Amino acid sequence: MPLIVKNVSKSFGEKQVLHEFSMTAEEGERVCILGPSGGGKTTLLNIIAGLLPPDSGEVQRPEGKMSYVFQEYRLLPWLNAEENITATACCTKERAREILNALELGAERKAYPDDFSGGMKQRLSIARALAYESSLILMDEPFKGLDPELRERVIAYVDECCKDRTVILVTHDKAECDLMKCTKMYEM
Amino acid sequence: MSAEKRAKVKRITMKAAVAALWLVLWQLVCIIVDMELLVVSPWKVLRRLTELSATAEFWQYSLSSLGRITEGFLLGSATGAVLAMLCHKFTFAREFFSPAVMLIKSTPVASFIILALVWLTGQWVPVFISFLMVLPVVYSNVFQGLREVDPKLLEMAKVYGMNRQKRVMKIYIPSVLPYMMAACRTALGLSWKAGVAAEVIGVTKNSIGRQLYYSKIYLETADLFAWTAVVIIMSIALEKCFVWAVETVSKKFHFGRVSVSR
Repeated sequence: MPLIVKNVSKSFGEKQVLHEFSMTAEEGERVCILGPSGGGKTTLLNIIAGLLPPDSGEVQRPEGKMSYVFQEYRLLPWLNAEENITATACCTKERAREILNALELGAERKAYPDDFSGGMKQRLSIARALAYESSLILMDEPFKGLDPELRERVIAYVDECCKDRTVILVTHDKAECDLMKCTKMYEM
Repeated sequence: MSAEKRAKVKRITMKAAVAALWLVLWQLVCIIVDMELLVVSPWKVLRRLTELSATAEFWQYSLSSLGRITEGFLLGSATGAVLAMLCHKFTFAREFFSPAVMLIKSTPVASFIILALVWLTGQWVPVFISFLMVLPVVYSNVFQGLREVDPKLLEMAKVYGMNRQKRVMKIYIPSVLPYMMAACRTALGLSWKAGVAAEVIGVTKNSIGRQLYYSKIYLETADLFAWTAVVIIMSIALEKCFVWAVETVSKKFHFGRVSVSR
């Protein structure tokens, strides 16, 4: 079942951030949403995730689980990196370790998010989303704060892990869109 | 020696030096006042404490008081926490219980002790008073902790399909635990103070409070100081045990890192 966003509008007080926005994503498709900061990209992802109700329009979500790489990470500060993944994504320790190693966080698996840099938190947030066996992944500026070389390695791993998943990637960098091999692009 | 060990030695040395300084000050005050009825020297208190601890009655009184105050503390903590959860969940419960909690907070403890003496039998008065002192402190802190649970984490939990039990264990409890710990540490001191006061006023059988009362009647200042020292030691010991217990439970149930400064 595809993801369908149909004529969705959303305002916060006087400010309208989304105006009759529509998009679709077929099963297993990678869709990129490009636009400047404050353009309503995060609002759109929150509406797709069911965290915000639209003022008008409708969203049809595909069946199955969904994971979300939040822009502000939303990690559990009282759990270490490995526990953050196992507690949230319901995966085994081995799987969590495998993903952490791939995202170059293996040595920090017992460390706590408060001791992480922004880039490390970002990768941990990605690791959690990948570990969760979801059919749809929402990614809000997931590669922000990563240096160019690391970003390429992380994107390559995300690409490998998302082979059969629907991905909605929000970014303001078109290069990320290309590296993630997105087949459809919407500008906001 | 590692930097961590050096810092630990420095901290312990500092604490020992401060304790020694206070003992010297106490001794100085004792010499200046020069009247044992008013101030007893630390050495005499220590001697009296040693004499008392050699008797079976000392342990009977101490353990009875410890049992009563712990009982009141545990009951108050549990009730306060449950009440806070109810009030967080239901607006009506909040409106209904808020005046009662406010009333408990503002009423002088002596009024409650006298009322409790009218309502209850002697043994239960200190339990009830400890309970009353602990309840509002734990209630307020746990309620505040519940209000401070990060809504963004709850949204994350929703997206990742975390069920109610998992949300409670992985988000609510770890968020509220530091508030609960702070409340319990404050409440423990309060429960000892108020509980022993209730024992003094109620002249509770087999209690430290009763011994304090007799010390006053018979002008046994050394006994008064010695029993007070027992209360302080037990209060600190109970707090340490409590912190250890919470940290152990937290580890066992993977509530995560609990920031508790000892």
